[in-house]
Amino acid sequence: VCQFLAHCQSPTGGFAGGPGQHAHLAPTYAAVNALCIIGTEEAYSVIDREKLLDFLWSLKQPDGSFVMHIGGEVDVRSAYCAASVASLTNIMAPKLFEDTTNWILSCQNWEGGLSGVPGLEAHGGYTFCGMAALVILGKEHMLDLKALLRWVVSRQMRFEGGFQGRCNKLVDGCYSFWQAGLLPLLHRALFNDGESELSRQWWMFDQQALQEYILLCCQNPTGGLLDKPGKSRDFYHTCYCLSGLSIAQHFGNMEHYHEVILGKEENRLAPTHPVYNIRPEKVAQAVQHFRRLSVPDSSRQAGPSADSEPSEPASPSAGPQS
Amino acid sequence: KQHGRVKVKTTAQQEEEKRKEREKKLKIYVAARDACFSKRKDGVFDEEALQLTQQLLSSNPDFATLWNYRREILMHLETVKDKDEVQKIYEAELLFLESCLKVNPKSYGSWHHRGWVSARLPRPDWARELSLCDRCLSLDDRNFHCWDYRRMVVKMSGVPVKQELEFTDRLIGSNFSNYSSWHYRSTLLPLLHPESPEATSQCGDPPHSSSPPSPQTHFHRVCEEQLLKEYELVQNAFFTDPNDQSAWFYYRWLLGRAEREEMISCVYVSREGERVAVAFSRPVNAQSAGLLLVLDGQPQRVEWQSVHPHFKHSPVWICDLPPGTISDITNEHNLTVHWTEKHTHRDCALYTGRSESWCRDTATDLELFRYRFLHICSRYCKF
Repeated sequence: VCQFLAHCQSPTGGFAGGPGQHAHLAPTYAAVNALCIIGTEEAYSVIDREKLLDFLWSLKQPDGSFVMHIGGEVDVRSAYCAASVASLTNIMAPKLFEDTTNWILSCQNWEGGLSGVPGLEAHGGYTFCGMAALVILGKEHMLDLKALLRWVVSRQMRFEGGFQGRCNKLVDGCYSFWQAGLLPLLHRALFNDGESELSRQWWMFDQQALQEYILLCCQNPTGGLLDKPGKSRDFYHTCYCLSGLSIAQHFGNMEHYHEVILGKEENRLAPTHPVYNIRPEKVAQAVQHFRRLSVPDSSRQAGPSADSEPSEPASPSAGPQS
Repeated sequence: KQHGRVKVKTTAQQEEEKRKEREKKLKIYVAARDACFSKRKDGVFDEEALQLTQQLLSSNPDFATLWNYRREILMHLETVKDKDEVQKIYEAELLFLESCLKVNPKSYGSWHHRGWVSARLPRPDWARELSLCDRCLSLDDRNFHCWDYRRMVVKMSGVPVKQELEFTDRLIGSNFSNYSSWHYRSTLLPLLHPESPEATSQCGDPPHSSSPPSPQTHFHRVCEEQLLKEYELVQNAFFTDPNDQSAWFYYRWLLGRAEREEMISCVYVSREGERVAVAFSRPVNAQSAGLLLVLDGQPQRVEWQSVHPHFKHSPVWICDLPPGTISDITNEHNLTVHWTEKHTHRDCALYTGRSESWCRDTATDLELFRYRFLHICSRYCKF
């Protein structure tokens, strides 16, 4: 896996979907997480940190947002992917996330949730990305947390038990993580805000109902998990149904820890880190490893805007050299 | 048929055939992909490259690298072809994109590329783009890629807000799942009334307080006339289908648009229910607010209940009057509710022969609306 991911790494930094393709923040996020899960020296050393920082700079926009790839679209996923990999690998250059906080905040709308870009409807995937990014940047208190809480708890379906991605849409297993995963983040943020009425045992959603939905409705009998009954299995839903199941099973903060395991003992999953969605031990281990290295000194500041040519004289065409 | 018997394939044979088919397709795909990569490596931006990328993107529009390559080819062609040829090339591109979107209307790559093409077309046809959005949204009005694209088209071509509102009217009228349309309306309404600038543009500096204005209280004021029309519209929606979440969420947002001052918005009294309902311009805590009910000059001992039993703060509070105090329909009564904390009050007269009443000191349509809302609350809230 390490070797394959090394082949997916672009010479100009970041990871692509496959060898020879252009780097993109989504596979970059996934690759860094995968390498941190593996957690060996070999895995960590696959990541070219200097180039990764260059890559992030090349995607940065003047308004604080990031494009998903050179020549690509802007939305709040990119801020999360960038913040996630930068914080794990210790390449958070000063000013890298300048204005990003304000841009993310502008994605929160009257519904309480966040949209992909300012002006669209609130959506679970984007809301998670925005909030988690702000948590990494230490700015989550700038959101209207109460409005966000009200929005996300309204997304759990009273009949199915799972979560919908947006108001008036159908339930989908993957939102078991994107939506339910907001509650641990909100719990901590509200606690830090001085909120005194927080539970010491439960997240603010129906954990049992979510587990029921996932276990009873989202499993393929031949293995793997899915969106809803009738849909086919895929790795994305398998990942996020399981991540959501873990969130639903484990309540925990600094002092308190409480489990709710629906069904057999064997159903217990390992806890997952609510920001990065890999095991907390893996996060700690990676952070510890990369902290020993210094933040790369990148002379490059924020790159050109999404559609123009890169400024490097050696490569006249847009995008990385093959 | 052979020898009178039908030759039927076994499951294993079918599986094998499928596998061979998939392998064949994969070989073609990989060959095309490798050809693309090698052409790009050599810096080749020709017709064949367009063909190859088209072939691949038709079956996989999420292959971002290829959209990038295609843009490079198109930009190169711009430098060697004349304006009319470029127009034709980009129009063909739009057609190609339309076929991609038919297959997968939710591909980031396709929508982004279409936006890029539209911005580069020597003579863009925004009406056609708007019509594409109309069609796409009529098939799935929750497609946020399309809504985002639509906003760009509207902005680039200056479509009037009123026209867009009419568009959402049609959509809301015909589709069950129409939350995106309501949401779009919420972004259009404030545009009709530029009396409400953002806090930032007003004072020139970005607001820098530790608690920035909540997006829910953003200064997106909407004028009363427009609001009332909107209330009617959304009330029709939830009276038609009370289980439609969209209308209720939108309604909740709407209710926040008009309120400015801190005041008692409305007092409603029902003889039959022997009950008083009070609406405030913002959620209050009845105990700390110091709510006082005075009936015909006499303060009443009442228990205030919020419409949300578990919430200490509520925009509506209800109390029951002592039995018999107002039940005689031949009696006229004068009610006053005092919000002592804010030194404000509201009077309400319950006339002879009337079974119910609401405050009438300013009989605007907005007051009537509030009365109706209170009436609904008062009837459906059970304690």
